[in-house]
Amino acid sequence: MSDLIVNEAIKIRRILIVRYGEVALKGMNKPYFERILRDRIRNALKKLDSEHKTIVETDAGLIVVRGEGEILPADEKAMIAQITRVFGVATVSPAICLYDREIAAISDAATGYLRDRLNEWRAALPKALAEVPAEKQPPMTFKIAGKRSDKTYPLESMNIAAQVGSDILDVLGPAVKVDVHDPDVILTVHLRQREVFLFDEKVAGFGGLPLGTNGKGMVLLSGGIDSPVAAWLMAKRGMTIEAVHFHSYPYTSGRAREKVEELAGILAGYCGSFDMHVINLLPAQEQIAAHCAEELMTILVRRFMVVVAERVANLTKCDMMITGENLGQVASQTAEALVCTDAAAKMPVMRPLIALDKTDIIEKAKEIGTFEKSIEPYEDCCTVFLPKHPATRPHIDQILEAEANIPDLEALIESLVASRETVRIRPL
Amino acid sequence: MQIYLDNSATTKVNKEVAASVYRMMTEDYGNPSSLHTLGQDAERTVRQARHQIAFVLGARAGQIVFTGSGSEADNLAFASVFHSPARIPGRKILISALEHPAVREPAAYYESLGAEVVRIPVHESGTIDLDFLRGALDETVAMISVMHVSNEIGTIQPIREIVKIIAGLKNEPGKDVRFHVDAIQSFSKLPIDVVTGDFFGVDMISLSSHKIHGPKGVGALYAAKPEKLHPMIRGGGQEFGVRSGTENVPAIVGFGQAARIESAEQIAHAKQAADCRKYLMDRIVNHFGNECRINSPSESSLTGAPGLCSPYILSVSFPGTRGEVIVHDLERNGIFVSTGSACSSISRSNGSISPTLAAIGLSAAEAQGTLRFSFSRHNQIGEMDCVLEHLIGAVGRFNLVGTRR
Repeated sequence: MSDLIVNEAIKIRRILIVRYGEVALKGMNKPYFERILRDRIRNALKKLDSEHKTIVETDAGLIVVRGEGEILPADEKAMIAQITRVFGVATVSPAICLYDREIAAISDAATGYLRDRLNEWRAALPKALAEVPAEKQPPMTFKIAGKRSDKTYPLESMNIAAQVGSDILDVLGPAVKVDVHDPDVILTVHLRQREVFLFDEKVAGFGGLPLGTNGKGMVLLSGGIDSPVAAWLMAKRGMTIEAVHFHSYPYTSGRAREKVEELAGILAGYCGSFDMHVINLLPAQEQIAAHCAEELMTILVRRFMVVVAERVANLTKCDMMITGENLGQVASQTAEALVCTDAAAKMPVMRPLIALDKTDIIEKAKEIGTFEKSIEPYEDCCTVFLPKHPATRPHIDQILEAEANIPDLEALIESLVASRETVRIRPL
Repeated sequence: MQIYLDNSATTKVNKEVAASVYRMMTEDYGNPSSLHTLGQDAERTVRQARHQIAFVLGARAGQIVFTGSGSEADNLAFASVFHSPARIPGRKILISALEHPAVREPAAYYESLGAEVVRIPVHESGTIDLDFLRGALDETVAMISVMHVSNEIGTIQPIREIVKIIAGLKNEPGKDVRFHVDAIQSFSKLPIDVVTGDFFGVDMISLSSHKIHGPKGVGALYAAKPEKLHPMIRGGGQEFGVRSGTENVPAIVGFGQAARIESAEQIAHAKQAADCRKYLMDRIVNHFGNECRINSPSESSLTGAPGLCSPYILSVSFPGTRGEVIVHDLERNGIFVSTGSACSSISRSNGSISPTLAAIGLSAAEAQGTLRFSFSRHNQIGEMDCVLEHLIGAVGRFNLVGTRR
């Protein structure tokens, strides 16, 4: 709290207001969620490597980011970009914080604020309009939205808005005009216990919950489009991520693995550094090819992945697994196939993409920046293991029977678990 | 242990060459265009390198233009023939069916501008069909481009025969067919002489440095009549105005030196490669029998006899396998080979097969299971036993999971 009341001489300063949507709905746990969220925002801002120190504090239902002692550093835009990437953040507003709550002072500051907007608005006018004399230009329309958290303040919200609006008109005259229906600028005057916030812009974040507030999930990360999106969606709900990646070297190339590491790096940009366990599944594929019916190859391999991933997940204390599976997308993702895959694990398997359309998944992948990397081509020979006619309606009994043909199944699984190579994935 | 058998993709730079390159970067770093002595020294070393390249071809230094790569040399050859839009429509370009993309793509580009491209088919050995060539020749032909040694299978083309066949279409009014040879896989490895040898009468020859233990980033185009070259890069007028841009002095000096070193004992070097090649080929055939197919002409030639194979290249198919899987399996044991050719591995993943392998009659299954071993004078016979052993293991492992598919 002490940081809030800095240098009384500063009557006005730039700040960022961070609203946290869903976290605000939490009951008893709210302080916990708020604390984690503040930590996440502080971490995100550290990436900017700015010389200015910033202070991140919860203040009456909002998180406020201020520059230490001074006004907010100039890299405000970069700060907003970082903060909106933090899970749990609903919106961010660049704002002015005014410590003088006298209505005259508020009107002064609001007038200054609107004057800046007016200049920007004029600069953005079409050339033909911009060239006519200022007095002949059309007025910029605005609306003042009053908001009062401090109910002891002598004026009510409506009165604050009316007074500030009228004071602005007195100064800026015909250049601006009130329009309460479709204004060019909506300036919010938020009157609080000790200060007043002025802002006119809200930049949307992803929403969700702060990372680390909802257990740990082991994502089965391939190099494709789906699994990074699945991991991202779970991380957005506050889940800490760990990953396992299966390859079939030499049937897949070393370049494929580099690609997955880069993809994971993009993910780490949202959910922080995490461990990725890399496992060569070829020994299992060889055994399946040698002992089981060809059409069951795909589904048996999927089960192997789940079994092995679950053991690693238990070792690293994960609560659940996450896959990018999507109902009906490929032969191994039919309802029947998913039943067989799901039966391989006791640990819950989250499939956040299960009911999405491919186009929606692609859109999300583009939004979070994994799409371009996912579609990068590289030599991929896992088609060698694709059966010509994969079984699309396998039955679990048939699958268990096939697996029973594999000699020393348990030893094979354990050797795959033990063969894992763990790499630390850091944000790119 | 490391056994490098991908020398047609690129080679290890000779230490002596690397030392010169380093010196040109750190000590004699002048710009050849500068007036002062540092610039003058740089200019002299570039001139010396030009002489070294020319010497290997029996050419004059003024006939050598340095480029940024072998591909650029190929492109420059095309751009020099089709330097004005008026020269393109209705003109014919003859290229062999084995050409590298650096020839195929420029040809396709000028085709899109109105030229006609005729691809000369090849016999099973990879030698071009000379009868077809005779039949295709007429006065509309502007350019013929044939690769001396195929980068994928190693076949040596009958350059002298082609020169004879086209002789009637040259140097007369209205008859100006230009013959370009991509000699990137043969330069300083097989005899190439533009005055006394098989290459007399060839108009342009593309060369590259990094295939002969020189640095990457430099190539050259020989032109019998350099005044007929036309720039693709205009600017400060370097390289006789044909290729502007400050010379890549370190790389050029390395290129010249590599050419001198490699060509000095050309026959001995070729013999070393030929011995390794034959030893490996015989053992592969012996072990795999009908389960493999040798795509290269089986006999190699140290002197560049047409129809035979370069001593440096051996292409073998193991039908039913996948070349890239074998490549990755071998790399685990420190053995580096290539699929059909390094340049085509990218397109391979799109399911298309190499035009060269298709041209010599390979099926898709054979083409997919193709490996290219490419040798250098640094390879030893002893290494070949090791390669064979791991090759047998890799193919066997593949067949364990792959045979029924």
